[in-house]
Amino acid sequence: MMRTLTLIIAAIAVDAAVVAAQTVPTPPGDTAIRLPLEFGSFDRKPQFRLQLLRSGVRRSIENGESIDRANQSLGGFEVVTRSFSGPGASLRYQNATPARNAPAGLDSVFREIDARAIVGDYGLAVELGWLVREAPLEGKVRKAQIAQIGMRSQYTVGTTGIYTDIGALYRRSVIPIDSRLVDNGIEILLWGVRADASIRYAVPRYPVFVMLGYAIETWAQERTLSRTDVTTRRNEATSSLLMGIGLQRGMR
Amino acid sequence: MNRHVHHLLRAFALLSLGAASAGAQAASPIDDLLKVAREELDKLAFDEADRLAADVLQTFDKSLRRTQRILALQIRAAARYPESDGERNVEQAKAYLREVVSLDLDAEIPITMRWSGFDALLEEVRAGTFGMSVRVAPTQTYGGSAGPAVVRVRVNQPAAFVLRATPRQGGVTVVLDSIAVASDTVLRIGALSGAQPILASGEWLLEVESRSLDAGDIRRRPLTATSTPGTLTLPTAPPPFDVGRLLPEVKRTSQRSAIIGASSILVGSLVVARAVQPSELLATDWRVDGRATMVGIMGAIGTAVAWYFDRGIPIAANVRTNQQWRDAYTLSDMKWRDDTQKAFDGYRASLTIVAEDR
Repeated sequence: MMRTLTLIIAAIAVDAAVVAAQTVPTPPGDTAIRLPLEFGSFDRKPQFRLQLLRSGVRRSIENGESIDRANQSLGGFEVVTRSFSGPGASLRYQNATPARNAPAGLDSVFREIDARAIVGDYGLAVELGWLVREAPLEGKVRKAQIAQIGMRSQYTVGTTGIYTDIGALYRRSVIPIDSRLVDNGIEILLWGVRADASIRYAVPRYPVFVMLGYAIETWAQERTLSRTDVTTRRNEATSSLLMGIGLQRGMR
Repeated sequence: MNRHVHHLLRAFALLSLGAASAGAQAASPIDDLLKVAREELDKLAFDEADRLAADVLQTFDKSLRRTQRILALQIRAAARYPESDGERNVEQAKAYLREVVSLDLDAEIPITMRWSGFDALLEEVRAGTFGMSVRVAPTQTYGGSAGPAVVRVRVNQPAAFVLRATPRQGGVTVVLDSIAVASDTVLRIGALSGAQPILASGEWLLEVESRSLDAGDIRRRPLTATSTPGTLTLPTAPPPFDVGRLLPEVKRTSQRSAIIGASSILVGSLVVARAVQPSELLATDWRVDGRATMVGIMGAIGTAVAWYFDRGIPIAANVRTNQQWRDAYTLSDMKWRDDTQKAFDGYRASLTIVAEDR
């Protein structure tokens, strides 16, 4: 929990620093006609982008006294639409190929559907989302319904076509993951955090961009056996190198 | 006998000069003497004609006009180179004709003195003697679209010309025109230097000087000019274009923005990599993920490179506004130039030039 708080505080600090840096006072008496884009602050135009994602993921799960590790490659796509100060939305789908030579539990299907609503401007926005995560759990692939809340900050580097993006999310499963497990007296709770930082370069005058980023996720799997009221915890962590290429509209 | 005649003539001429100064209508005694000399020439009294002409040249050297001097020299040359019934002294005749040519290249021998041999002798002398002739229209209206006033000059050898002007009442001499090498040319007198008349109102002494490039001989011809400049009224110039008023036309990324962008991806990726550290899982080699550092560094470098090569984007509103200002200024400037040109084109000055008979 402390680490989650640390991450959120760190994300808020980075966001606040970026927002503060973007605020440029207008000199008194300055009546020049200027672009909304002021000293590299937020691009105020509505944005829409569709990108193909490729992630190199390192997964690690506690397995008793040892740690199981595996490398996986995720592929998928992401659609984002935003207006500067109005609402926005994003949808991301990723599907992992089974890891070869991976320990049991990491060698099967991994799939995510991540939908988020975005409230706020480009500089600092709140994200509210829903994540459907299909991953191996307790010996088989199970589907988890997870709520998420977090913040996101985008910074436009003037007219260069460079956009940086930093975000953090807190995630928690809100309904029982699998009814049969609950029936058997075991309730599983998933919670964790995701943080990512990425940079996009939109080629000037062309509707294409490339993206490079880094993301890290942690998951805590808490199992509570109702008959004994004993809770056990199993930690999982992933770090991902994100790469994307896509079409965009609204950026430079 | 000759000595008596000489003294008689001299006394007569001096008396006549005094009478001429008393009455403007009186004929010149020098002309009368030259007329007598020509009559002597017609009567084939060559020695008498020569003596009379020589006496005129000697006695009235200071007061002789150019035309009188030329005629006297022509009489002496003709007397030394008679068509018949006389003793010829060719070298003497040539010497007199050389003086004639040096005084005026175009000086013509009076018809009664001419004969083919004498004409041929004059041409021979002209071929070997540097001479200059000057021709001017007595009254010239010049300036603006009418062009400059002109003084036509001709020489018989390549020469360099200079046309100078000096106020009659004294002052700085102005070089009006010069030509390095020419034989038959026009010297120009411009009307204006900037917006000021070159020749101010009043009397001017002009002098045409030619220097032979072959022998270095110099010929000068004085002219008298009366200048009457015109009135030049120029339109008021528009104020200079205020460049400081122009709005920025291109928006280029500030250095500060680039630093913020590069820092945010570098710091952001490192914060992301380090803030989440479930020690049980991310210990040892996962504690510092090199990929996060790589993303941060590549992002920062990419931002710096993109900033360096960023040409900015045009600010259309400012470009339009600036163009309107430029167009408005160009229009006013063109009108001013057009009005100024019209004022210069319409400028006229008047110049009355008299070739001094000296």
